[in-house]
This record gives sequence, C-alpha cells and structure tokens, in this order.
Amino acid sequence: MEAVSLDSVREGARVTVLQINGDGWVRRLYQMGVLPGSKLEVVFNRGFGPLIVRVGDTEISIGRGIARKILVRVDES
Amino acid sequence: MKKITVALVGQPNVGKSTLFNIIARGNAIVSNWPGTTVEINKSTVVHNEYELEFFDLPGIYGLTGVTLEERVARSFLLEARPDVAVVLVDSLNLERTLILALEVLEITGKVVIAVTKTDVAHSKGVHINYELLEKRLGAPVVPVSAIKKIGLDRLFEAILRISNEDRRPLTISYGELEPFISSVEQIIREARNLPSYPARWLAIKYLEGDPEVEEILSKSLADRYKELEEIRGECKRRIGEDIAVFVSKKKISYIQESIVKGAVVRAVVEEKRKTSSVLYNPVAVATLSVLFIFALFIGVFIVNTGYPLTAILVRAGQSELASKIEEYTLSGLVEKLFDYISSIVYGRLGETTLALFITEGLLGGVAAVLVFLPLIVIVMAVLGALEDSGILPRLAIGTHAILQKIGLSGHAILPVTLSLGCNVPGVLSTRAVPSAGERLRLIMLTPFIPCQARLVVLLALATGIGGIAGSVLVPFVYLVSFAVFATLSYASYKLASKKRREEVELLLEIPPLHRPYARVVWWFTWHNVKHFLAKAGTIIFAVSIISWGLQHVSTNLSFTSDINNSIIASGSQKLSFLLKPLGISGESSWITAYALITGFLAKELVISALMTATGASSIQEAVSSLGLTVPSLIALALFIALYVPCLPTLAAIYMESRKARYAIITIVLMIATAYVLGALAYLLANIFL
Repeated sequence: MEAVSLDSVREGARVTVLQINGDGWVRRLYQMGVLPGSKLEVVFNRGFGPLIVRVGDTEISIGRGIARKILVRVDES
Repeated sequence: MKKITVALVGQPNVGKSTLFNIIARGNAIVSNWPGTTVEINKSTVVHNEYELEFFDLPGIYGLTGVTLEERVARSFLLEARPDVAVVLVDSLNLERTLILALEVLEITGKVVIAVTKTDVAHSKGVHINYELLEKRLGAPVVPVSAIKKIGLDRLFEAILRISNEDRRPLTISYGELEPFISSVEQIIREARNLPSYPARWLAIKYLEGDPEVEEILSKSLADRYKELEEIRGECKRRIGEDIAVFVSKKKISYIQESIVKGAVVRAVVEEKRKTSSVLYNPVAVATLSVLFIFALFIGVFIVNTGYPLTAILVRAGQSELASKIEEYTLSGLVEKLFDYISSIVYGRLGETTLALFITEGLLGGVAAVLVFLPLIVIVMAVLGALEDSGILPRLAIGTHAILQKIGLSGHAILPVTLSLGCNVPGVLSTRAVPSAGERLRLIMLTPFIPCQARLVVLLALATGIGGIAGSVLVPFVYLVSFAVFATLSYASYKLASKKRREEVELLLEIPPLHRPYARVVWWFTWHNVKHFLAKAGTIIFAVSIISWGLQHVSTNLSFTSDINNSIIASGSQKLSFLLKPLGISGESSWITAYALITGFLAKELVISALMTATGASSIQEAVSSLGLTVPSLIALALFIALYVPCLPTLAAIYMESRKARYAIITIVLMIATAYVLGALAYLLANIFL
C-alpha cells in the first residue's frame, strides 16, 4: 500500500496515519489524537481551504499546509 | 474546619466550565496567576465538615509547556501543590483525553479522574468499565454528568478520600528511554538546591527538551549540566527521532494497550452521521461567517448609539425619528440619567465648586464607565453564546481562507472580532492562537482595529463635520483602519516567514453544535464584565477625576474655573506644534492636543475633553469654537483612530508579550502610521473638498 499525503485523500475515505513530518504542529496533533496508527475519516476535503477529519468521536479541522505533512494509507475510499 | 485545595484540570470541550459552574453555583473569585494574565477561577464549597477550595485551571491539551496556559496549569500543580487534582476526561473521547490524565498522574498521585458526558455516551451505546479503569490507573474513576448533576456526591467522596491518602506519581515504562531517564534522575537526585519537583518527571521533561525544565536544571546543576547534555545527545542518537514525539507515542500506546483495552465496549455500530453540506462548504461558511459577524456588530452598534440606523434615517429625511431613536439608545439613556442627577445636585448645592466637582468630576467619571457597560454586556453575552454553542470554531474555519490572504489564520478571527468591541479582550484572546509567531504579530497589530470607544469619538466628529463628508467619515475611517491592519499583517507575515519560515495554519477541534447553556453564557458574561469594571472601570474613573483636577488647578497651584489658566492648558500648549501636519494650529490648538493626551488613557475621553475645555454644550459648538476646517477634522478623525493604543491595551500587550519592547514597537508603529495617513488625508482633502 503506498503512502499519500492527507490533503490528497478524497472526501469520505478512511485512512490510517503512517507518519507525521515537520515540527511545531506534531505535538498538538498528538494531543488531539492524530498520530501514527490513528484511524481517521476524511469528512470534508474540497481541494482548497482546511480539511475536516474525524478522530474517534471528535471532528477536527486541519489546515492544508499541516495536512500535506501527514502521510497516510487509504484503507477504504 | 479542614481545608482541602482541589485543582480542576481538563482539555478544552470536555465540560470543565460546566462542572465548575455547577459546583461553584455562581460563587467564584477570579484571580491571575502571578506575572501573567491567565486567570484561575476559585470557588469555596463546604461539604461534610470540609472546606473544599476549587481552582478551575485553564483548558489545556497537555502539560508540555508549549502554551502560556499549559505552563500556568503545570506550575500550579507543581508549586501550589493542590491536595487533590481532579482530571476531567471525555467518555466520548476517552483515549485522547486520558493523555492529560497521564501527564498529571506523572506529577502527582493524588488524582481523581472524572469521566464526563456519561449520559450521552450511554445513549450512544458506549459502555465503560469504571472499576477496571480505576484499577489500571491507580486512581478513583467517577462517572459524572454535570448538566444532569449525576455523580457529584461520589466525586466529592473520592476527593475527600484521596486528600487523606499518600499516593505516589504514576510510573509509565518508556522502553529504550529508561536507562537514560535513570541516569538523568540520578544526577537530579544528587543535586541540592533544586525545587522539590518529582525527579523522574524532571528527567523525562529534560530529555524531551522542555525549555523551562532546561532552565531550572542549568541554573541549579551548574557544572554537572554538561553531563546531562551528553546523556541527552547519546539518547537522541539511540532513539533516532525527536524524544518528545517518542514519549507521546509511548503514552498513547500505554493508554491503548494497558488502560482502555477491554475496559470500553461500543455496543452499537456507529451510524453514519449526516453532514449538513452548507456547514462544510468553505465558500458558504466564509460568506455566512463574515455576514454574521457584520450583522452582529451593526446590531450592537445600533443598540448602543443608534448608528448607522440614525445616519440612514437622516439621509432619508427622517431626522426627527433619528433623534428620537438616538434618545432611547443605551448611550442616550445613560446621558439622560446623568443630566437628571446633575440638575438635582445643582438644585441642592447651587453653582458651587463642590457641585461642579460632583457633577463634572465624579458623575462624569461614573458616566464614562457606564456608557461602556451595556455594550460590553451585550458583546460578551453574544460571544459567550457563540463560544458555548460551538459556532466560534466554525467561524474560524469559515474565515481561514480569507485571513490567510493577509498572513493570518482562522484562529485570528476571535481576537479580530473582539477588538471591534474593545482591544483589551482582543489582545487577551490571542492566547488561543497556537502559533507563537502569529500570536505575537496579532498582539501588536490588533490595536489598529477601531474599537467601540473610537466609534463614539468618530461619531461625534462626524456630527461636528456634518454634510456628506460627515456621513461617510465613519465608514471611511473603518475602511482605512482595516486596510492598514491587513497591510501591516501581511507585511509582518512576509518578514516573519523569511526569518523563521513561519506558516499560518489552522488546527482546531470542532465541538458538536448545541443550544448554548444559559448558565454558562451568563457566567462568561458576568465574569468578563466584572473584569472590565475592576480593571478598565477604575482606570477610567480615576483618570476622569484626575483630568478634572488638572483642568481646575492653575499653574500657581490654586483653584481656577477657567481652564485656560490650568496646568493642563500650559502643558498642552508646549506640545500643540506637533499637530501642524494635520492643519491644526493657532491659539486654541492646545485644546486638541490636550484632548489627544487624555485619549491615550481611554479613547472615549477625547470628546468630553474637547467639550469641557471649550466650554461648549454640543460637539458642533466645540468644533466651531476650535476653528477646525473639514480637512483638519477628517485628518484628526483618522489620527484618533490610529495614533496610539490606549493605556489598558498597552498594559495588556505588555502582559501578554512579556516584553516592554513589543509595547514600544506598537506605539511607534501606530504614531508613525497615524501621522503619515493623517497628514496625507489633510493634503488630499484640501485638494478635493
């Protein structure tokens, strides 16, 4: 299975986080439950503006620049 | 009666404020953590012969010390050493919210875990084995539902029990990191003059690269600090990734494998939630957000001063209706009340110095505070409702794309919106902005956004100008101010992104929408209004009285009723040459200079200063007796909107940025902008008008 960046994943897909690059936002992402191994559902992604993903029972909004640094595996599209 | 101190700790949106409100029943005292503007609410409750002192710490995601709030919560736990820490975890997001619980448990073992929103979790088919969780965490676990007041008795019981027990902090195994932790811990234990923080906790935080812990250790270990650095260097090579990230991962897997596994059962398969498409459409949300904020403020403006409704009515030839409406706006009503009291005082005391002092000095001071009060109540109530209902984060998402164009993120929407009401809460609310660089830029630039105080002054000047120029003055000044804010924000972003590769990004939790709880909204409003009265209120009141005094004491220190002989007049005369670029010169130019000096203390005082110093009874009269031309008035209006942050705002900038440098940069930036644009406006207006 190949790794893709989160911002390129289509709406409605379920993904597993493989790796998060970068620095400043990593810890905050971890605190919010987005870390390698987490299962996410991409609730909203229209190709521009922030994405909305669901982690567990929470929805979080992730800026496109941050999403680009999150590598995921698509489990179900 | 035995006293027990209890700290309430929890992530944002876990229901902490709701629980605190239920426990406090509205009786809370707000205090600042020393040296910061971060507030901690305190409430004392008597339960079974015990006096429980609850401290509501700020909502935080972790204790990493990244944000000011995290540092405050952390030092509260380490230094104030509460008898019990109650950590709130969300039953719907157990794994994620347990991270904070682990971080607290690593500092102190005297913890009670309160699992919130259990009624909702139950209805969603989530079943939690609390006994098992309790055994695994080594701390009491109590299910509560604050809204339905379930589980509060058990929570109190657990708090009393834990307060009497001796409990050790939790030890989580960090695998390959362990040998390094024990080496560092060993050195820390041998040190003498360290604060009595848990040694293992200090060791882990040091390895993670926590700046605060580094500072403590480098100070007290002196020569042995080198050893620590060597251990950490070796550790980094062995682990092969950022140690803080490694530790976070370990914590998460500890929660998943050793705590939650088998203790939480989801009976029902989660139904696919319907997503309302409008709420997710970025263009629609952005448009709606902007319209919403715009409508909100127009509404608040109308209730407060009648503007812009009155201006429209005047244009439509309905001047009578306009003045009738103005009479019944909040400002109009306050004015009426004070005129009435003044007439009674004069009736009783006659035209004496005492009567003058009471009506102009004392009442004037009270009025200056009261004029703002209703407005702040409305703005705070609306914001409280926006925040509690979960609309605010959606506004941030909606406006993110627009704000990114001027070098800000959606997180900036709250500071920017609040600043339209008052810059002080605007500056304070930048705390929620996660990027330190963006936050600093916002702290320094939000004062460019015209607040309500400036609106009042602008409206008065617009009345003074009259005609078409008068009716477009307010929108014109707002437009220029926003343009300046946008330009400077974009320029500073470009500068910062070159230097530190700063990026403006959005990362926030979207809480579910619900109808705002009246109790929480009321609490938010009351809390902020009280704050305003205590801080800004006293400053405005004191300054009004002092400035009345300065107007009535002559240069040879005796009482004078003629302001031209006063100390303030002679002082302002020396400075009035500075106003030449705005076309304000001549004998009475000192009055404008004097009004601007008072305006530094609180902007709304500009008008009352102009009126009292000229002895005029209306703003038109004041303007004509000053001999100001229309171009000068336009330049003056622009200058007043931009020239300097008021004193309370400056105090907030200093407190939030913790450096006087940033307050000074803001002043210089604003004065320079005000001068250039004011002079330019004067030149252009002379040509075209």
